[in-house]
Amino acid sequence: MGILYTKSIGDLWKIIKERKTDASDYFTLNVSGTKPRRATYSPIGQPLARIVYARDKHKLNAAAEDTTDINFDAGQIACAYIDNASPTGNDAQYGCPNYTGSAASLSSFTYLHWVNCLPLCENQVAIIDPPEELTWDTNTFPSNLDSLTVHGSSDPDYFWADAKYLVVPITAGMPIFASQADCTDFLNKVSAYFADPDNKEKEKAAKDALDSAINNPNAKEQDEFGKEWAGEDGYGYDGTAGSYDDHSDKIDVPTDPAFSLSKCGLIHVYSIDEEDLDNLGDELFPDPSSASTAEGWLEQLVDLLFRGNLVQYVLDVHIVPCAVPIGVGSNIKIGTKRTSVLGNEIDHDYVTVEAGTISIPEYFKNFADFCSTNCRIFCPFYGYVDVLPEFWNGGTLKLVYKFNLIDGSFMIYIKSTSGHSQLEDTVIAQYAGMACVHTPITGVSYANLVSGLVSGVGGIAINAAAKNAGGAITGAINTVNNIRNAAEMQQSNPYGASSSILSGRQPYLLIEYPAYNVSAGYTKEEGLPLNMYAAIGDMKGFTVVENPILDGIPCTDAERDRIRNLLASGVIIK
Amino acid sequence: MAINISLYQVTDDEKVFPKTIGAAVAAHAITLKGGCSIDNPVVSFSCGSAIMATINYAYIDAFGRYYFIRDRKMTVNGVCELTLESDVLQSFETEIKAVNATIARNQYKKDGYLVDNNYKAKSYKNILTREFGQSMDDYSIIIMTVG
Repeated sequence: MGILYTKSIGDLWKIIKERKTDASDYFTLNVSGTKPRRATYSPIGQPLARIVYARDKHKLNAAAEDTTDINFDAGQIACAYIDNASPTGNDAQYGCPNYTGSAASLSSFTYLHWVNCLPLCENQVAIIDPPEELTWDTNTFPSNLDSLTVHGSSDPDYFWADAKYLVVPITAGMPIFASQADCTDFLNKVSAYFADPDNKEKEKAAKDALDSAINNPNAKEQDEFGKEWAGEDGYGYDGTAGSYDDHSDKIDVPTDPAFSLSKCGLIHVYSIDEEDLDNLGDELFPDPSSASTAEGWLEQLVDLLFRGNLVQYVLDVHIVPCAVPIGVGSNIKIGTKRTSVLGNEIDHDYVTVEAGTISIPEYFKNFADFCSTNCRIFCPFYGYVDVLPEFWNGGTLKLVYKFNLIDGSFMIYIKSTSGHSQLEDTVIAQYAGMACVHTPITGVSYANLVSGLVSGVGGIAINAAAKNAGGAITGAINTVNNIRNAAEMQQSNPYGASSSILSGRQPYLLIEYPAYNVSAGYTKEEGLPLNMYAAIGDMKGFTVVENPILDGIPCTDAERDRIRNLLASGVIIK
Repeated sequence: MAINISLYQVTDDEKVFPKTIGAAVAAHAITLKGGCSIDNPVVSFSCGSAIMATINYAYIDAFGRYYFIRDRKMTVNGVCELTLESDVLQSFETEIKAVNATIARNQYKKDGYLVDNNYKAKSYKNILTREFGQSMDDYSIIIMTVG
């Protein structure tokens, strides 16, 4: 048993995977407003769970059981009751109901109690991050204790033993996820993954459930200035506000053109298989000597004498990389001859292929998902195309192909549902290309194929150069990383129509994430970007104020400058 | 005019405020040396060497300010001379906290989508691939005829 410290959901997930034990191994946070050793528990074994975060200095004082505070630099974290009400009735016995809300608004305390006991509670999950500095009341706790056990039970006299811990970081003000439904979802999915550990889909589902269970602790969801800028004294050039209308019109894949060559009657378009093609050869090149019956011999002779050059009525035979809808089966007509070969006659020149959808949750859930992350889509038969993170990070991408069966050309439509804007299932990019292999039927057509007249121009694959990799995070201070000049990597070259059909068939994203190195002391030594207008006294911890107007301070000018400089370089507010 | 100085030992970092200031180690009536400034006074008083070794912080009631002790000198006559610099954060704690301003960075509150140029990144990138839901494995032979 021991304390595990993680600083990211990714790390937490690694720990879960490494453990791969029964879900009941996860500990439960024992939380109570007034009594220690309470946990949410259902006697019928329905899993209940609570995920709580905590950080910074915890001081545990088991002697003051009912009033132990966990003091963070920023205040207290408590996971107590809905609406901060005191527990009564079953709540008093069975502990606190789940709490959902902001850590900063909790008014009770979280008590972490150390006792050995029999495990009575089932399938409870609590994730807590004890801080680097953890002080113990050694009068009560064993002196050789070097770890924190957190557990709980519905029975006040019993506690868990040998619980294991998973931890994630927390900051004051962070919303606490604690809904039973979501925790149950996480537990069920991680149990399913542990039962089938090679199943990648189950692994992803469990990890996504964990990830979505932990809310993104942004200070504000919307731009703080939104209201002011939109008001009558807005920042428009004439003093009025802009429209701030950020809705998006949905742009869908266009419908097929109404005209189809295959419908015109003069031109016939069929899809056939290899055997059909082989059989057609016998009809294109009649050979009376091969007939086995008199009628057959006569028919072959007539074909030879009067339809000896049927092949000239074959406009083209080519292979396209898509399935063709089953149409009307009919004997293939070449010139004046209705052959005996049955083909799937096509009456619509275009085929739409849904090439797949992908949803990528945000990796960092912060700015790094957008300003330091690059991505390319590999589009089969075309190559790599760059795509902005705004179109896929935290959103959904969909690929749609439209093939022209007549000449093997295609259009790719990339559709996006963006996680941070109003785009919904909207076409954001289109690319044209050619993907077909023309089968030379005559010496003329073969010569044309070789000379390139038939092959056409393939899709222009992007010379996808690797960006200046190595930590260039829009002006990062890490100058050593900025020096690196990564060689440009050409990931594909222009595809010919024939060669493009040999390209990979699996569309995928090729994503480049920055690999951060963030020290454990980063937030208290440097803080995190905020840009919020507030009273300085409302802040706690490391705080930077860059341009304060220091009215109302009865100090000298030199002192005022010193205050300004200190605030700009960062102060620590207790 | 009698001016008193209270002397303390404070362990908080200079940029912390409000500081945790315990009981005074000593208190003395002081003599201002020359025409010194309120911001950076130099004061002297009689005291023992033991105190000099422990103190690093002071409060002068007449000036209403807290001070860092920047320099400590002791003469053979047992006169202690302290060079002080005002701790503006502690001295004006209430007024500073009342200031409304745009908070650029904070330890606890954040807007995760604002760019943070202070992040350090490694020299390599983490590269991964993610497949779309299906691959395009089909093909068809098309024959076009006229007639």
